[in-house]
Amino acid sequence: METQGKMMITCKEATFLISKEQQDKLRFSERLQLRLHLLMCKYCRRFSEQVKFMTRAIGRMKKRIEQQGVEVKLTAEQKQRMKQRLTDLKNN
Amino acid sequence: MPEINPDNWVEDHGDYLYNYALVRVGRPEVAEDLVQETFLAGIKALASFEHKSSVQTWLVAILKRKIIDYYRKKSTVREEVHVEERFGPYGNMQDHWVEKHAPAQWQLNSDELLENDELKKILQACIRHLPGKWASCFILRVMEELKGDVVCKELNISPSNMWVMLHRARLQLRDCLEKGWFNQ
Repeated sequence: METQGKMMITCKEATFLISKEQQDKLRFSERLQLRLHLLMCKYCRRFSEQVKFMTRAIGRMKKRIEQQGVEVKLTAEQKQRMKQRLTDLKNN
Repeated sequence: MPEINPDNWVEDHGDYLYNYALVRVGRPEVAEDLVQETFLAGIKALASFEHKSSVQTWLVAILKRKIIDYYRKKSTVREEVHVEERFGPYGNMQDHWVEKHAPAQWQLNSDELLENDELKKILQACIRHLPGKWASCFILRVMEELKGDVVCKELNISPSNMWVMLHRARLQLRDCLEKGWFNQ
């Protein structure tokens, strides 16, 4: 979404920049456009706050996933199945 | 150099790899398949194992590749995607929030909320319910933290395509979380 050269951007454009900001640095002009828009738009302010919250929540979730060891064990049946297929491979 | 015996892989590494896959793909039957494929690929590539890392680390690296492949395939599945029209189509309000789709107030006043397990579960479910293309893009870029250009290459999309998909994914995740948690 190209917003270059505009002073006023729409909510559609503002939310796009807010999303993009989660992964990438915005250009100076984009940051300015977004700031100005947020001053005037309650809904986009909420959107921004909520997207940032989701990013933080996902960050916590990822940390949990990384730290997680073995919580679920393979069943005996699953293991048997896997071993069987490995044996089949060896014999072929 | 110690002999590597794949006969013990299922017992020695099965549970660990299964957990690794399960939290990343969410479906037990898919996780099992990916682990199985990892073992098979490992046996075929055994000659290239250089003993620089442990066998488990090496198997995890293979599994990671399998997980990317899984999402790459998932992103190519054709499906009808309904794009919610959240912004006004014409007039003064063109491209501005339509009142009934606009973000509601969320109670975000405590950091404890971030640790809430129920909320995490809902968020995870919301991510899994994204359309395949968006989910693949979002999971590889945001959850697995692959670099942008790598995601584009894997999913065969342009950078601007990726940005649009990530954005649509976030719009939908926000809606989903609002419905599932904040508006109960």
